Amino acid sequence: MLYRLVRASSLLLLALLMACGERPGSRQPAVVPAREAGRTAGTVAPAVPRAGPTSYAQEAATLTGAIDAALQLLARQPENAQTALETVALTLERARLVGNYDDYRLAGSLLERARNVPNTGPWTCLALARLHYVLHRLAQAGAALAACAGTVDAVEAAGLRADIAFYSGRYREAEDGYRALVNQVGDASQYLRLAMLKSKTGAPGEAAALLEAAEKRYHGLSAPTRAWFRLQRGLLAWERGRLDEALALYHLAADELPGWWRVDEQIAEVRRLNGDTAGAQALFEDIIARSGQPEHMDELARLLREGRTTQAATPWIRRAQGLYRERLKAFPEAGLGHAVDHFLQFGTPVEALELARRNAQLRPFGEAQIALAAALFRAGQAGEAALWIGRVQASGWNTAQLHAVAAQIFAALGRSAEADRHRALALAMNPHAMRLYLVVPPVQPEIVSMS
Amino acid sequence: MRRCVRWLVIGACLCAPAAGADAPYRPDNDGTVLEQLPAPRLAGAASLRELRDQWRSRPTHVPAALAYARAALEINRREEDPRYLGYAEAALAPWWLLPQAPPEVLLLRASLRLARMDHALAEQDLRALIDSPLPEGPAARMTRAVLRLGQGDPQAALADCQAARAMVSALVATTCLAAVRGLRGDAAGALDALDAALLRSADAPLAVELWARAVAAELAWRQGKTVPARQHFEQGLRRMAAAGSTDPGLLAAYADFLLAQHDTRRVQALLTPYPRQDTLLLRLTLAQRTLGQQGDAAALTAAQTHTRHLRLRFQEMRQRGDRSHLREQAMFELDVLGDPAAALRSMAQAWSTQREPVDALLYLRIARAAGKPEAAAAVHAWISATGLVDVRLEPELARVRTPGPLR
Repeated sequence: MLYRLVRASSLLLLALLMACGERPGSRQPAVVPAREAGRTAGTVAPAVPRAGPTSYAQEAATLTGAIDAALQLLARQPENAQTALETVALTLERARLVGNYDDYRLAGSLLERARNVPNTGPWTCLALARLHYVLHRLAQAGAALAACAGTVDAVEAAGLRADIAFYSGRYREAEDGYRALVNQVGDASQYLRLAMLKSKTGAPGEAAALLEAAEKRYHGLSAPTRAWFRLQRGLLAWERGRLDEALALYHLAADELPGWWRVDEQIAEVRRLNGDTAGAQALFEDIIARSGQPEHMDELARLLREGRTTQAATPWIRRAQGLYRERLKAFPEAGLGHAVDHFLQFGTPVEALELARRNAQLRPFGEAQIALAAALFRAGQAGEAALWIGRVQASGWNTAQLHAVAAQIFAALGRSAEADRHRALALAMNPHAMRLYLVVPPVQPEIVSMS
Repeated sequence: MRRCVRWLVIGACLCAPAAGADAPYRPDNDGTVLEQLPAPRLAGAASLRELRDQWRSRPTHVPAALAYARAALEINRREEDPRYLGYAEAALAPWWLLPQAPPEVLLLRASLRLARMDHALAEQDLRALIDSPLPEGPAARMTRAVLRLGQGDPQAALADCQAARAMVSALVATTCLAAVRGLRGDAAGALDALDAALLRSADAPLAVELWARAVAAELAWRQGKTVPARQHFEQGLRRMAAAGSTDPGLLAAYADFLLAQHDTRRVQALLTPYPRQDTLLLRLTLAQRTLGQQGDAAALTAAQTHTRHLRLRFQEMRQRGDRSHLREQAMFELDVLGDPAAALRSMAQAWSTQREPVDALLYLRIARAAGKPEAAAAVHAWISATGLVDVRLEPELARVRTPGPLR
């Protein structure tokens, strides 16, 4: 059963993409990427001849090689702030690719080191703002960005400012920013950002067109970036209920970067929804072996719970919970979103609600607020959950997920007309919405009627 | 289309009351429409037929089976129509006999077994969840607590209410504990706690509030506080009506309250829209009989018709091995048919699975009417064991203490 409320945080990852810029393909020398205006790239690793598409494992190895080389260079030149900064960018790129939170820790320490070097210029300031942003520290990101005023690239700063506005729930401000960038700069990243916003504010058709426009404007060779575009188009098709189209796009993404878990997890999701439980289970097991992330352990546990070896789910749930707790300890802000999802189904309602409240406080945007509504509902506070649904709707957020969750909450409250209205809206946006976005019911006696 | 009609006909043959005869009614041809069944649908959800189609396209897909079975069970609760239980059971058929079914299936299977009064197997399912680290454990505990309350075992219910306390909302926890306290003789304290919780829980889920209101009304009535009892019933009904839902349990309890207050007109108005629900048709019949005795000829005629229907419905239930509504059957036999001996047999069966104060009162009344007050010895033992204090029981208990002429 799909209880997942938090899907891929596209814009967050987009920020990482933007932060790192386009990495050169493997036919060229692997370099510390420094495509921000006016910077130079230092060669730190030899070229690797390539035959056929670059695989995820090759990409990850190339990045790791580049980071290791950069770290060696830094060891020899500890005062080289530029190299430190570029290593930060590489590390964040690997975080995006591999999903290992340790890279955030490394990026933080490298950045701290660069900031302690005298006369580092404005770049540390922007890098710091970006790091805060990817770690979900919007307030600190905004403050760091404000401190950069006038010293950094205006386009970079404007993009990040709009991203912060988006995750702060200020969609109009974010849209104004993105639209201005599309009109003034008009590169792939600006189109992509606007597409993501439109997909969450009730204009999925426009978002799809913008995504295609973004892809057409990308002329680089980075396999992860090309895969990323197709993945985003697939996710958008998925959110519109076009499952065959989504699957086709996921396969195109997989062709670009074979073995990338971000693509495979979506393929597994389609298999699950189509009733191919064994296929989905096998793929999640494989993904876990590759990436070891708790989100996939949760998915595997959900599948096992529907099968004939339900007890086999328990060790995965425990293992995932341990990893979430470690993440929350190390990254109290960035670890929240996915942890909410886990604790909603497998933890106590009280803990899930506490995490969801913190998450929505840190990033008061639609997805986090819908998760908060779901957590309130799970904790038996359906009235407050309905209030949050109203707030999300009033903010301009408009997705099938919102309406599907709203339908379930209003149905439990006995507000039948509103439940039916939201169900109709959800189905109009995604015919599968009521199967995809199930909320976890509150704990109450099963004997008591549920709605 | 033809399949639909046939389905309607078959369903109607199984359950529709025949007009006054015990022999089954046989229609002349397949095209005869015996009953127009509504297309049942719960607010915010697909129609039962859509859910059925989704399940039938993938009968072993757990989420599809659960969605259909849950909806069917919910409609059964509202309609008291056993056909929907059958649909739900059919959806869970691939897992019906599995000891290690998926946890959500286990929980729903327990509910279905409870609806069939198969308490032993239901408890097995609930225990399997409670003894596991699965997230369904607390819901299983709460379900078992409510089952224990219905079985008149407040001590066992208390253990489950307390164990699940941290996982449930304040209103669910308080309702559970208030029901326990009420059975143990502290109805006043329980009602105070529940009133406070209800005040703090505006906009609780509908089902939870209706449960809490029913418990609160019962606690008040048990103390002879008819005004707050009526208020709780009315508030529950208002919320139920606003939701366009039906809670036969709440309606039946309120009807019993109103009948005890001799407010038969209100009962008639309240229950006339629910002729399909056996428990409600019985109370309606009781009210109309009284009105008939007071000179309302239309009510008397309606009561006579309903009596025929009820007799047939109870017969059908027992013929198919359905052990539900034994309490109602005993009420019917005592208060409608005037057959205390039959009522005593039914009540003795009912008491083996269901021991609420209302059952105790009915058992005492029936035993007295049957001239066998000693037959209700189990009730006295139960009252003594639980410490229950209930002003409604006092007249019956006083009669036992001071035997007088039988009615």
